[in-house]
Amino acid sequence: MTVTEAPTTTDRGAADPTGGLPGESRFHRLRYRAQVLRREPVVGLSIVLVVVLGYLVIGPLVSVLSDAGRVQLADVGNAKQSVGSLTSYYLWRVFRSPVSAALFWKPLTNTVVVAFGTTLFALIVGGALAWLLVRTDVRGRKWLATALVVPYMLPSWTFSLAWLSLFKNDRAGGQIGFLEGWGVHTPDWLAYGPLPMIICLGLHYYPFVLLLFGNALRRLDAQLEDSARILGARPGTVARRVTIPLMLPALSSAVLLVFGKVLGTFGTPYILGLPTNYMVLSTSLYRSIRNHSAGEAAVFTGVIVIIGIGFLLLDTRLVREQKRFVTVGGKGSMDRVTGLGRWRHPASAIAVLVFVGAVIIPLATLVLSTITKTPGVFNADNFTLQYWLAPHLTGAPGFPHGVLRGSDLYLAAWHSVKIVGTMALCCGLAGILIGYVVVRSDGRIGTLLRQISFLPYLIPGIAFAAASLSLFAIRRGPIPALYGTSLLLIIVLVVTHLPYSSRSGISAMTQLGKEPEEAAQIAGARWFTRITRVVLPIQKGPLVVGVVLPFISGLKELSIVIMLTTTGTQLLTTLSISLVDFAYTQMANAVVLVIAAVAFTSTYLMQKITKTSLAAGLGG
Amino acid sequence: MVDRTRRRWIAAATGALLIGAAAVGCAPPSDAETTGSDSPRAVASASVDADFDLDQLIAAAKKEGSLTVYDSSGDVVEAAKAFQATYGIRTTGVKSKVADTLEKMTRENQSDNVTIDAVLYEDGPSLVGQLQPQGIVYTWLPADLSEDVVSSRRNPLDVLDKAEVFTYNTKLYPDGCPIDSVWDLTRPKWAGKLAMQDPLAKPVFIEFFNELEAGANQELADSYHQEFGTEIPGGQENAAKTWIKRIAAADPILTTSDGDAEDAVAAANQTEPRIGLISNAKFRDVKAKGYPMEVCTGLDPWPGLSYPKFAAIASKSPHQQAAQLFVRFMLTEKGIETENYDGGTSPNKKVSSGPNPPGLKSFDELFEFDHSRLADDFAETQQMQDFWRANHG
Repeated sequence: MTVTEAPTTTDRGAADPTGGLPGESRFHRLRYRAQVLRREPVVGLSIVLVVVLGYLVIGPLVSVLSDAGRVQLADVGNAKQSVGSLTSYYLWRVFRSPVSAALFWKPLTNTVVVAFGTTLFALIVGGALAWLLVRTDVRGRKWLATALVVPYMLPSWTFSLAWLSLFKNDRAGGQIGFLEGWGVHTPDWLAYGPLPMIICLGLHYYPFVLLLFGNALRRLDAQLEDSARILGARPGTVARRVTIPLMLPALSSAVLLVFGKVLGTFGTPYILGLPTNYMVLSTSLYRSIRNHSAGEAAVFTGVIVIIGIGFLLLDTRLVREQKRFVTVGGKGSMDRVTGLGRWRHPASAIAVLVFVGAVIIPLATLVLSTITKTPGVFNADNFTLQYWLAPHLTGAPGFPHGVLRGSDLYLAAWHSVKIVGTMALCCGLAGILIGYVVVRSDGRIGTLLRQISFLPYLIPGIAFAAASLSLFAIRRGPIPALYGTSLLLIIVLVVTHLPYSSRSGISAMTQLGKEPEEAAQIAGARWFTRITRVVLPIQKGPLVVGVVLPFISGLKELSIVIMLTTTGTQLLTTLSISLVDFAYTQMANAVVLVIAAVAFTSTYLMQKITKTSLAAGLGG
Repeated sequence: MVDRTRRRWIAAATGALLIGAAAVGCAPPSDAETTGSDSPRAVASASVDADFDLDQLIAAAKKEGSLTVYDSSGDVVEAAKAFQATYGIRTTGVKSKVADTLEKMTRENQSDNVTIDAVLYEDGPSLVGQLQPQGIVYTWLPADLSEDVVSSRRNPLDVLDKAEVFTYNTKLYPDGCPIDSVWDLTRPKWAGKLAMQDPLAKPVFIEFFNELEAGANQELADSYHQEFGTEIPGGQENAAKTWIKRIAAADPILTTSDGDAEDAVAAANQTEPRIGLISNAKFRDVKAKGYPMEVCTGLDPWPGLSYPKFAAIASKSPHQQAAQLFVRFMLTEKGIETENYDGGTSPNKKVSSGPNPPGLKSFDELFEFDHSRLADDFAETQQMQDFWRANHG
């Protein structure tokens, strides 16, 4: 942090250098641009990034979507056309056929309800918590800042598992629910359908809001608010005219992250919707894929992607309006903590309550399920540690010992950390780089890059995995056949998790003025030096977020890993899934706990080592 | 700036309109376009080598050096180990869902980069309808065992019969299964009491329905008469459809896994009267978890269904001989015992069956899928799904 003394300029000076050129001739202009290009590799960099990402993202997408217009082998009899011929059969089937209400329209309505509900839920919970943790003297904000991110480290179905263990009634299979066991009959609307989906998904995804929002809130210079206040603005006006507009990029990023993820998630909606037949688009997609109906699956993927893109465009528009606000200049910024006064205890209680609901309850349900023979029965002889520790377990042919015995778990954990860790580091660096390029380059290509780097997020994982497989199975031009190598797995994981990092990077770079870098430039620093010595140190916080989020998310990744590993190299997630199949559910859940533990430990260590991080970023 | 923004919005609106127009303009399938020539219903036959020599095959297989086998059951890991121990060929067994396996094998084949050499595959319709006609896999019968393999199970060759059986809770019903006919399940009393996996995500149930419609109308009609004392409304040929329709309308408890269906019937603290349609493999829990459950013995016309797990070899695999040797291995006692310790029968008459679940004497009591109908099952999959969807509401 050597640049805090940099000269303060207003934003006016940072206008496009090509804007007011004196030389009118084409030649002069070109020569001038070439010179700028040499000093500012932003343009070249942005072109490279657009091309690479374009290939990695648009390629698979086109490959998936094209199935929607071609007759698949399975449907020759249904479409009454020959294989591969151009058809509108799938569009007809999904949008206009007698089954389209059940297949598409009802799920579409339900998707809208669940996606908006979840986003709203996550915004309220995450936004309130971010404000409490960053701007107030709420009790225990340091450990809360760490603890409240934990829900994101659990696979999202953990929440539905916990919900069902508590609230399910006789409409669903599986073990008896707690309330049911005590003779309380829960109504269907509480046990299944939109309400539990919104709560479970919301509790899982609010950390997005908390992290992005918290980070932005911390970087926001309290002096700006002070100035408004000094000029006589009321608190409401300050929030409306200063704070919220400055927070908009982070806010709209968070909305997009939650909304986009909810659109494509099928685990939770499927488990919670099945008993009352409350289906969403992702469930329809999942069923099509399970039934090998590629054409139908392509249409669903298309609709999900288009809805997502709609939001992406909206977000782009919002952010373009916001670009003129620069909140981190070379000037010293101030953090201001509001005393909550007599509201301190109630506010702390709310934060703790969220912690209990989003962390303790799902974790406890999971832990209990690994140490009881029959879930939900609390007799002394029903408790056991055998699923963790037993040297030999009967009835578990494929994995005849506790999960902590043998080398399988440790090997899988090592593979997970190695592959996902590499991916996350690449993501983090690429994210800052993309953020830098997007913010510093001329509008159009920046916007393009911003959108392409986010697109993978809007493509449901199951569909994306298969497509990238076919793209890399053979040598294409200079790109060798990577199929079967862990390099391919890492590349595809980087592409699919890049959106987290690029969001975080863009959001942070938007708020970083040009001044610190210009100061370095004046002092004679080259571009590479400027990036490594100025930009990266300032952006250490967002960089960590850009590494940690993909890491956590990648640890839980399943469909891509299954599709792209060929020899059954076990990662933690695949180990968990195979335990469901050939051992005990208890052991599968034990592995899920291990995933959460690895995620948490790594995040924690990362914070300690880098000293700036999610928690430090939020807690001050 | 305003101009550009406006232009962009116009472009976006135009795009949306185009998509809308495509959606509105798309046409339902019409018979006029029918091209009968590439109907997928022609079934490729299992190939048999005339000049088969086991020793030569083993030698050639060893020379190939390695093998990767996919299966939807985790047991394949053990099967691979046993194969490696027997022949010294480095073998990897990978558990993978049918849909993923199908996708991978198709794409590997298209790109001539095949890593999956052989597959144990449970979805007959897509095997016969999709993988075989595209030449992605073939099924192969070792000549030296061909006499021992039951003829109805040779083409395509299966290595194991698995089962889904109607199951009840013996603690709640100590006197035996509370129902005596599959039609009982359509009575209001049993509405919301049948626990099974979601047929729209578990292809074997849709296949079951199609097989019923093709081959079980008479039996179901007789059974109906037995149960209700009247003729089935709508006539005999609709018996299967009537049953399926009423089962769907009776709002069964649909689950995402076999385990959940099993727990709904027989978990330790379960008190609800329920019938489960669950895999025979789950009966290991009778011993392992002390689950009080048994097959509905004597259920009319059958206490469940049996379905085959096929063995197929990737046509472009570089390990042809090793894959063939593996298929042969799975037809022997030593191979299949890694998969049928929980029950199931081998097509090889000389290989003993796995243990039957309590209440079931033999797989012969079960409704059996017709191997020659698989192509039709494939073609009719979607119609049956829609039929279920329409009646399940």
